[in-house]
Order: sequence, then C-alpha cells, then structure tokens
Amino acid sequence: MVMRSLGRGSSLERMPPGIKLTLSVLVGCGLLAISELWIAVLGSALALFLHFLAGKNPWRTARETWHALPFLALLAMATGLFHGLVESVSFFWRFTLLLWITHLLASSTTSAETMRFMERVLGILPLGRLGLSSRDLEIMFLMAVRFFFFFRKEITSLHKAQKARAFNIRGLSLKQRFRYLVSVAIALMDSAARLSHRVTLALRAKAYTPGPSPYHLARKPGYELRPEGTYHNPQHETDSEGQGAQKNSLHGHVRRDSLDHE
Amino acid sequence: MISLQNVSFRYSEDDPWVLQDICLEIPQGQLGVIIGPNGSGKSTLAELIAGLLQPSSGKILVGGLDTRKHPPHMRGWVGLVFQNPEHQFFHTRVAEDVAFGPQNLGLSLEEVEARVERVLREVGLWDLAQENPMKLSWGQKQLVAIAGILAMEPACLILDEPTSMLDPPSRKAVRSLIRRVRDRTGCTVLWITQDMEELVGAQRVIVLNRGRIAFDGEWKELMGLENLLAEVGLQRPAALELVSFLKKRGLVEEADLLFSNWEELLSW
Repeated sequence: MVMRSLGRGSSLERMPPGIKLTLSVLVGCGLLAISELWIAVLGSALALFLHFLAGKNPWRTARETWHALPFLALLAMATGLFHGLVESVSFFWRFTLLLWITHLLASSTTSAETMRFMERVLGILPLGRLGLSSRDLEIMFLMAVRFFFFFRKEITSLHKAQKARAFNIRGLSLKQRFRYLVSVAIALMDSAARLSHRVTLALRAKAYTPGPSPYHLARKPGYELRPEGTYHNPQHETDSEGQGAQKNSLHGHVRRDSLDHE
Repeated sequence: MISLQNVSFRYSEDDPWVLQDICLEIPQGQLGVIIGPNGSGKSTLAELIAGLLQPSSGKILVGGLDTRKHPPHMRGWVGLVFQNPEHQFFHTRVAEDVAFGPQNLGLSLEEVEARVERVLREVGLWDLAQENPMKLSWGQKQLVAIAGILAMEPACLILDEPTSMLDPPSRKAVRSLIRRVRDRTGCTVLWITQDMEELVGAQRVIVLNRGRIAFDGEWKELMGLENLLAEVGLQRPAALELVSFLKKRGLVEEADLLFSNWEELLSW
C-alpha cells in the first residue's frame, strides 16, 4: 500500500488518478524540455496550487525529498560549468519542482488507484493490432507494481526488525552502513525470489499462461474437450486425437487476443 | 479420481527428497484431510496434485490423465487455494480478481459474470465486489481467494492450511463454506492442516511425516494412536484428553456425552 503523507480526503486525493498521472507527465515534459524563465514561474505556481489543494505545507514536501537535493545540486553544478550560473540555477529549480510535484501527486494516489487507471488505459489501447496482448501486458504491469510495493513494505519491515534489536544506522561509519545496505539487499532478493515463486504458482493455479496456449482451444467455436483431455474439432474429423489442433495453437495460429474478444 | 503411483519429489538432484514413494487413490467426492508437521511435504503434495509441480519419479493421474502431459489446473479440474491469500490476488477489485480464473479458462463473458456473482454471493462477499481485496480483513481475503478458485468450478478443491492465519469466527466461516460447496457440487476436497481438531468428521485422514505417508485411515482411529502422534509431533485435542481422563475416573457416560457434543460441534 502506498504510504500516505497527506490528510485523508484532500481535494488532491479525490482528484481522478488519470488526471494526476497525465499532469505528472505534462509537468515532467514541460520542466525538462523548456528552460525558459516562464516555465519555472509557472511550475512554481502549479506546485503552490497543488500544495493548497492537498492542504499541505510546501516546507513538509521539501523535508520529505531533501535526500535527492544534493544529487540535483551536483548535476546543476555540472550544468553550470558548461552553460553558466543562470542555467545552473534554472536547472536546479526546475528539477526540484518536478521532484516536489511528482512526489505530491504520487503520495496522494494509492497503488490501487494507479493500477486501476493503468488497467483501463491498457484496455482502451489497440494493442491487439500491434500483436500484443493487453491482458498479458496488464498482468505484467500489475506484477511490476506489486513488487515495487512489496520491496517498500519489506524494507520498512527489515528496518523495524533491526530497530527492535537496538540497531541505529546513524551510529555506523560509512563502511559499516554500506555493509548493512548490502545485507539488506541480499535479504530483499531472497524474499523477492520466494514471492515470485509463489506468485508464479498462483498464476498457474488460476490457469494463466502468457500468450497462446493449447488449453485455450476450448474457447474456440467448434472445438470440444474430449473426455480423454484432448481438443477436437468435429469439422476436422481426420484429426483423430485432436493433437493437430493443439499443434496449431502452439504454432500461434490461435491468438489469445482473438479469444479474449469472443 | 486422483491417483498417485509411487510418487517421489525433490526440487533438484542435490536436494533431499521432499516426498518419497507416495501411493494414494482419492475417489471423486471424498473429503480428505492431510495433516503433518512443518516440512512434512503437505504443500508440495498439493502442488503436485494440482500439476503445478511435476514428480521426480512416479505418476499422478487426475481424471485418468497424466499431470505431466495434461496439467489439471489448466482446465480448472483441480483448484488450489494457497495458505497466504495475498499470493493469489492479481487485480484491484474483488470481482475482477474472482473473474481472472474463469477468463483464463476461456469462458464467455456472460458465463464469467454469472459465475462471479454466484460465487461471491455464496461466500457472502457480493457487497464487497468492487472493493480492493488487499484492503479486506484476513478472513475476507481468504474467502476471496477461495471464491477465485470456486469460480473455476474445479472437480477437486485443495486448500493448503486455509485457516492457519484466521481468527476462530473466520475459521468457522471458511469451514462451513467448504462444507456447503461440497454438498452442492459433490467435489473432492483435500484439506491440508496442522490442526487436529480439523480432522473431526473427515471421511479420510492422511498423515505425512518426513515426506512419507505415516497413516491413511479414519480420524477416530488416528486419535487413538498415541505413539504415532507422538512420533509425528501431533497433539491430540484437549477435549479428547479430557474424555480419556473422565473415562479413567469411571465417568463413562459423561465422557461419551462430552465426546459426542465435541464431535458434533467440530464435525465436517
């Protein structure tokens, strides 16, 4: 579940996720592509307006995202070396605005809302014409989002478990911190591998296979499942065991998309 | 009918055997309980029967078909409910998640919708059809996971410790749901558990220990095998200990009354 840093029920939270995601993309494109002063001013005004909608103090957003600021400052300094001080400041400010706005929009949208929006978008797109299965893409996306939130939840649990044993990362040297992060990464990988095994089994338990499958012949008009477990089309009587039909589907002649639309 | 013929399984050649030389015949419609300590191979057995894993040696037949060539889960013949319901959620709405299995079976939209409604009404979650399954209580999550498998209308339903994470009222709800489903559909039910009280009233009990079948018979017979239970690491329910105690004290009538009440309360 997404961590909610905003008060429940703010105007920003109630805004449809589609609008928020579209706004993120537009703001991102605008702030990255245009280096004029007016875009920085417009971005600042938008950031203030969004904070107003969220009922949140901009200072709080700044505190929540300060970890990224030294990195942005470093990039801005590098830009300044080639393009001068004004461009360096403009770069820093535009990227900081982008960070704040996307942080604000993301933290006011739950993972479920994001997933629902993406499900809808993938359902609308004519992916079948491009030879892609919208259903398979949807599952891939849902799995990716699921693992992202799994990692976040797992990191929080690992930190809490360490804190419960009086562990304090602030008291460690840089080398010790690095070692700790490596051990956390190993634990995460182990958990992720186990979860992915269980999720794969669970997907198969619900008869899911990506792409065409011989078992989907059962959906095709004219095909029947015989008691011995093979598929058979009475119109092709020469195919005595229905094995030919299975081969056809395995060679991709029976597309999953076309079956989905039936 | 499910038939396991000298089935052994290990994850790789370097790993120890998880299951060894398992022979079982499970007739259609039977209510069987598989019990055993941690690491005895219960979940692996369930995954083998569902066709999610393939035996390292031996053969498994479901409906007369070898699971190697004809994985039964792909046709919805065997439905497996996992211990952790969250592992089985793939969508953000209960109804969509329940529809996922029937859609994979290639059913028509009308048939999928009809099944989703029927199953959600049966498990008592129709009112929550538009909710996010991840936000429900643990008991409701388990019911959604079961509904997702029931919508595939399997001939055999395997439940892998479905009540181990639930509170007593939710446990009761899940058990009575499975009882109702079995009465209605006549499906085979294989209930995996570590709880001895869940054996009461089962038609058949299979005890697994270190990957082998240690007992295959009736639950009442198993309750009397104290040495076997001690060896496997299972404990008789406290109520049965009390019945034995009363009998030793000569209170046979009271003991019988207690036993019959207890049996009626917990029986499938």
